[in-house]
Amino acid sequence: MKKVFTIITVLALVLTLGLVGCGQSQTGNQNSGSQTSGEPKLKVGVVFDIGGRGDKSFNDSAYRGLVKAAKELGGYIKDDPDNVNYGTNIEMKYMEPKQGGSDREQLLRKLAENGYDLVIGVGFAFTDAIKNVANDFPDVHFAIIDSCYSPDDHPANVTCLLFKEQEGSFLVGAIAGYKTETNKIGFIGGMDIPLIRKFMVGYEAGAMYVNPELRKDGAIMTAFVSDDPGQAWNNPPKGKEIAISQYDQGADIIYHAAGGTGMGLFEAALEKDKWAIGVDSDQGLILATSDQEKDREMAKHIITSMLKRVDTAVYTIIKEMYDNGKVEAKVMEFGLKENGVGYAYNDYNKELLDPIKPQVDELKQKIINGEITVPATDDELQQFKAKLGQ
Amino acid sequence: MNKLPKKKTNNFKYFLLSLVAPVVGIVISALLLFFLILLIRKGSISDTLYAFRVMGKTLTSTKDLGYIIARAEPLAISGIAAAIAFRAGVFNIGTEGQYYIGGLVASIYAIYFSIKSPAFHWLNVIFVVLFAMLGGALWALIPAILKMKKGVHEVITTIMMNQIAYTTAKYFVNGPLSGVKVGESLEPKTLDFPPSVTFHKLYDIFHGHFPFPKYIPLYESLFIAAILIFIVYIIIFYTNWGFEIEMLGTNPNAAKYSGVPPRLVVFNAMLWSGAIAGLINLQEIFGIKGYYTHHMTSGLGFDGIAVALIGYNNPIGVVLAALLFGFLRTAGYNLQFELGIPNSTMDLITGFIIIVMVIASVAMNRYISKLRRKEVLSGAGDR
Repeated sequence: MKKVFTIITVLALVLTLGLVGCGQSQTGNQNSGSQTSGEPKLKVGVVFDIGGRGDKSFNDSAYRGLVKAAKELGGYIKDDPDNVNYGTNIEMKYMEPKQGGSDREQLLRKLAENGYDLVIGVGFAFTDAIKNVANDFPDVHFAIIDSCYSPDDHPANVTCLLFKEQEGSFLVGAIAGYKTETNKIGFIGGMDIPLIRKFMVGYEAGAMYVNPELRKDGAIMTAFVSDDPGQAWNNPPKGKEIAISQYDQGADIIYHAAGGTGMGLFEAALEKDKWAIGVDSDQGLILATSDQEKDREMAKHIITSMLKRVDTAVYTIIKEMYDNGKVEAKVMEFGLKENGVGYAYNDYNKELLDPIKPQVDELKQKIINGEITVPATDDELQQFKAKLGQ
Repeated sequence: MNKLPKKKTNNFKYFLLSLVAPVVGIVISALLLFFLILLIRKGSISDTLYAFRVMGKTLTSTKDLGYIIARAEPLAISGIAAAIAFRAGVFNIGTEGQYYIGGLVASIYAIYFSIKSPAFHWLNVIFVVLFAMLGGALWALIPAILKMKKGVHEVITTIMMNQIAYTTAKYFVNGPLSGVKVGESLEPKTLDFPPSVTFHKLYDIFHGHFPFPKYIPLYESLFIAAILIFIVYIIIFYTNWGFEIEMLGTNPNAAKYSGVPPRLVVFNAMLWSGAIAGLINLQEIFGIKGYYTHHMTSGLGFDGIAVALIGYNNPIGVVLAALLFGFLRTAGYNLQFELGIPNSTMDLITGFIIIVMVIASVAMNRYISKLRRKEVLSGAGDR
C-alpha cells in the first residue's frame, strides 16, 4: 500500500511541477476575469434562458442590447469571449442556466448577492424566480422580459418589459399573404401559451387582411412543439418534423415562434425548397453571414424575420437605470411605435421584399396611427375576421 | 477477553483504511480539475490558481456554507434512501420517481386537506412528512411486490416507474391540480399551498440568531433530514431489523441459514427506501417554491445513489458525501460566476470522483480482506 501512495504522491508532484514549468511562459498574456480596473458606476447582470448566447434568436437579441449599452454608455461585458469593452462606466455580466433550466433562480441570486444593481431575467420562465429573489433583495432592481405580475402582486423593485408581438407578426403575416402561391401558410409555436398565441393571432390577422384566400378555414395551419418548457424552445428535430408535415400539406411559407426549435424549420425549408419566416432576431441575416455553408444555404429560404427588439428593451432599461440611478416598478410595452417590433429587411432579402415593401410599410403606418388594431387573442381574431368578411 | 483492546485498535485501523478511497478520489479529481481549468482558461496558471482560491473561499464564506448545507440536505436524504436498499442488496434506482410522487401526494394534502389555522403548522408539517413517505412507499410498492412474488429485477421495474412518475406528475400538474392563472406566471404549477403548511425559514424561527443570511434556502425541512438520519442510524446499527438487512446484504446464504426471511426483508427495505425517498425534495416544494410542479430539480434520486456509494451506505458517510456534493455545486456556481467556467465541469468532476473511488475501494477491499485473513491466521497461531 505504501508503494501505491508513494507512486501517487510522486506522480502528483511531477505533474504539478511540469505544469508550473511549462505554464510560466504563458502567464501574463491572459486578462483574468477577476481583475477589473476602476469601480463601474453601474453593474448589470443578465441571466439568459435555455439556449443561451448563440441561439441566433431570442437570447442573442438580448445580448445585442448589452453590446449597444456598452457602446453608447461606455461599459464592458465581463468574461465575454468577444471582449466587448468601451469603458468602465457600466459592468455587465451574463450567465446561462444549465440544461433544463432548474437553476435560474440560483443564478439570479448569485448576481444579486454580488452587488449587481440591475438584474435582468430574459424570458417568461423567470416569472416566479424573479419574484422570489426580488423579495429577498429589496435594494436590487430587477427586470423581466415577456412576463408580468398582477397589479396587487407586483414587487416594488421589478420592471416588466413586454412586447406587442402581434403587431410585428401582423406585418410578416401580410408578407406571407402577399408571397404565398399555394394560398396555404403555416405557423409553428413553441408552446401553447398566451404569449405565443399573440404571435400566431397577429400573423393570421395580417395574412387574412391582405389575402382573402387565407380567410378560408384550413388555409393557415398551426402547430405547437411541446407543452414542456424544457422541450419547446430547443428541439430542432421536432420543429423539422412539424414543418415537413405542414409543407407536405401544401403550405409554402411557415412562420415560427419557437426559439432554437426554429432551426428545424429552416432545415425543412431547405430540404423541401419552400419559404420560412424567422423570429426575434434577423435570422436570415445571421444565417446568411454565417461561416457554415449549410447556414448560408438555409438563409436563402428565409423571406424575412419578425424582429422582436429585445435589444431595444434591454438597452432602454439599462440606460434609464444609468441616467437616473433607479427605475420605477412599472410595465414598459414595446410595439411598432416604440420600434420594439418590426420585420427584417436586409441586403439578402431586398429583392424579394422590394415589390411589396410599400404596401407593408403602409400597413405599418396604419397600425402606428391606430387605423388597424391588431388582435392579440383568439376572441379578438374572430372579431377581426368577422369585420373583414369572407 | 484480553483480545478486546487489540480488536479496537484494529477497528480504528480499518476505519482509517476505509478513508483511503475517498481521499484518493478527491485528490486525483482535484488534479483533473486543475488540468481542466487550465484548458478552459487557455493555459493561464494564475487563473487556475485563482480558481482554486475561489473554491477555497467557498469554505470560509458564511453564505456559501449556508448554501452547502442547503444543497446537501436533499442529497443526504436521497443518499439515505438509496443506502437502505443497497444495504439489503437491492438496487433501488427508483428514488427519482419516488420523490416526485412523494411530493405530489404531500402537495395534494397541503392544497386540499391541510388545517388552515397557523396554530397547527407543526401538525401540518408532520402530515406532509407522513404523506410524502406514503407516496414514496406506494411508488416503491409495485417493484417491491414484483421482486418478492416473481423475482423481477428491481432495476428494470424502478427505472420504468421513474418514467411513469414523471408523466404522472406532469398530468396532475397540467390537469386536475393545475393552478395557473391567466395573465400571471406561465410555468405549469399547482395552486399555492396555504401559509399554514409552507415550511418556515430557519432564519425566522431563530429570530435572526442564525449564522446565515436570510436569503439562504434553509427551512424546517433541515430538522426533518436530521431526525431522519438519526433514526436510520439507530435502526441500522442498533436494531434486529438493521442487523437482518446487513446480513442479507453481505451474505444472503448465511442470512437464510440463520433464519432471516430474505424476501420479506428485501420487501421492507424497498418500501422504507421508497418512503424516505418521498421526503427528498420537500425543501424545494414546501420551502423554496410553496407549490408543486414537475419542473422542480430533477436528478436528485440519481445523485443520491452516488452519495450512498461514496458514503459506503453508512448514514454518517452519506452525510459527509452529501456535504461534499453540496460543496462541489456551490463552488461550481462560484467558478461559473468568477471565471466563466461552465457549471457542468463540476458534474464531470463529481463523476470522476465516483469512478476513482470505486476503483480505489475495490483495491482497498482486497487489501483489507487480505489483512484480515492474515490477522485471523496469526490470531489462530497465538492460541
